[in-house]
Amino acid sequence: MPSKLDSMTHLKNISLTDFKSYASLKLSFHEKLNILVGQNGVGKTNLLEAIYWLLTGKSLQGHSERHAIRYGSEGWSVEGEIAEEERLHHVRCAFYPKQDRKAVFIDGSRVERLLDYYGRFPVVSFTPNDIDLIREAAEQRRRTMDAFFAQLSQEYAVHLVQYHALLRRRNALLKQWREQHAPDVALLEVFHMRMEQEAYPLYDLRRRFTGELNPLVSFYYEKLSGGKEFIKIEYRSQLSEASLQQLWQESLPTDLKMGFTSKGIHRDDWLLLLNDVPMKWSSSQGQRKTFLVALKLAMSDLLFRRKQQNPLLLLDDIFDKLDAERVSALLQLVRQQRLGQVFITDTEPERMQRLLAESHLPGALFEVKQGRAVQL
Amino acid sequence: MHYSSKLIERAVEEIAKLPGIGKKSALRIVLHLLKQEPRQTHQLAEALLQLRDHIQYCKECHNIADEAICSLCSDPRRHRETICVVEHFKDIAAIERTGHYQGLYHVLGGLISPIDGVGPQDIHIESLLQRVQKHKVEEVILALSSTMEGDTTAFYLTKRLKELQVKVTALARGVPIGSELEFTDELTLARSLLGRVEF
Ligand SMILES: [Zn+2]
Repeated sequence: MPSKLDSMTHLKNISLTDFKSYASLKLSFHEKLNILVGQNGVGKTNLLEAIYWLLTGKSLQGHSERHAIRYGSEGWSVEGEIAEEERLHHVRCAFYPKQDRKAVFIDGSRVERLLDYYGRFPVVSFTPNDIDLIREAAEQRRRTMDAFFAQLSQEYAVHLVQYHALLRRRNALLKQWREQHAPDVALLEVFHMRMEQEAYPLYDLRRRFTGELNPLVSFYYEKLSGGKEFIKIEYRSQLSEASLQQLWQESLPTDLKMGFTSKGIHRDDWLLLLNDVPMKWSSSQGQRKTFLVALKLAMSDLLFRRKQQNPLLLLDDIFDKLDAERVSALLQLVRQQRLGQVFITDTEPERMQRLLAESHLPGALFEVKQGRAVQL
Repeated sequence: MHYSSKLIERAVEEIAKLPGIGKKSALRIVLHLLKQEPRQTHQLAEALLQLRDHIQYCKECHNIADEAICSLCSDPRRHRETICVVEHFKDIAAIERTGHYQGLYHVLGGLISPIDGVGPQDIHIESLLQRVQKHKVEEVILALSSTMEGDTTAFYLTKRLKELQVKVTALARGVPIGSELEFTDELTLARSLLGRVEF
């Protein structure tokens, strides 16, 4: 019987040119587990960043293209081979600002609209910054929601980008009207009509996807923590309480005063509950990190269920603050097929070597030093 | 750059103000003109002056015209019950080339674009509404680009024209909606990581 592993989407190799600290780097990866070890600041995260650019055309850390240019060079490129079922794709993401805008190529042909590339090779990441999901304002949770749902559904991505393009224009109108004259009601109605057409599909998809995610998050949280606690993500939207027309009608005087749109789908949030109490108030650091890992595993699982394609998992600095039991529970989960190819960074080579040996996981260990990386 | 002649310097400076022409090209043009018969330069200067002083915008449709009313609006063979709305006068030429349209035009001179501060009052919308009311216009055809600004303008015009009980149609457009989608910040996972936080 052919093993499922053979058909799993995975990154076979990568080649970096003038990307961050790497002048030139070529690496071949293991199809299941890849562990990058090295001290803080040597460029482990930069490798994950390069992989993320290659798979999505975007930055993992929210940086600009320019930010990734190695000091003194003209631009950068990341290329690699992605195995997908029986096919091998050559993918390249490049940024040379003097010649061109950022470009992504699959098998030699340029992707015309980068929005169409996003989600083509699904990827789920965990970075230390994800703790913001629990303690910061709604924006960070919305970003996570959007970045994830847009990978799940092209339809979602298009509605989202359209809605925000319209929202920017509505906000510009509000600012102008603040300084000038009374609002042009007909024009405002045009924007409301068009924003509604984008917002309601987003609302439905957010509700549906959150519903599908919930049992998976519970499942992984239980696996990681050994049970006893109850996790829930609640989708919160002003649209559940009133129609957009009502919301905008009510908020218009305020919006005109402030010069921006105070209500709408762009204010949605996730309420994260641990035993029915918001996590923000009550959870320990271990619980938070376990929740975040469970969330990422659940996202990965849902991507697989919906797209029949294994997402790649990028786990940056994940073992810090997790106890040994949770770490080994996590590695057991990684052994499961549907978690696909995994990249993990850590600072302690001994710990990782021991973990690899104990968990009997097939994988490769890489040592990362300033501007270099070698397989051990 | 310094030239041995103030006259050259001034001519270069003026020509370099034109779009897409740098100082180098401007100097090349100046030197070229100096090599030609003086008559040629006079003709060029004269044509530009005539253009600038005598060009008009049609009082009816805002098309570029030699008279107060453009040649299309004053042509008795054109069907007067149909108006095709375009953004620029150069769009008229494109539609005329097809040879299939016999009606009149209306040039908006722009599109509603909140980001650029262009509102309905900044383009020729009121005069279109007046034309439709004043003359027996039966159908308004919207031939605007399928960008977000083109669509906004089309929806706005439809709204305003419906109040006047006139039939509004849109030109079939081959470009798929959203082809110009700006791929901006929406799908960026994190805000730029300034100051990593520790667990
Ligand atoms: Zn005219």
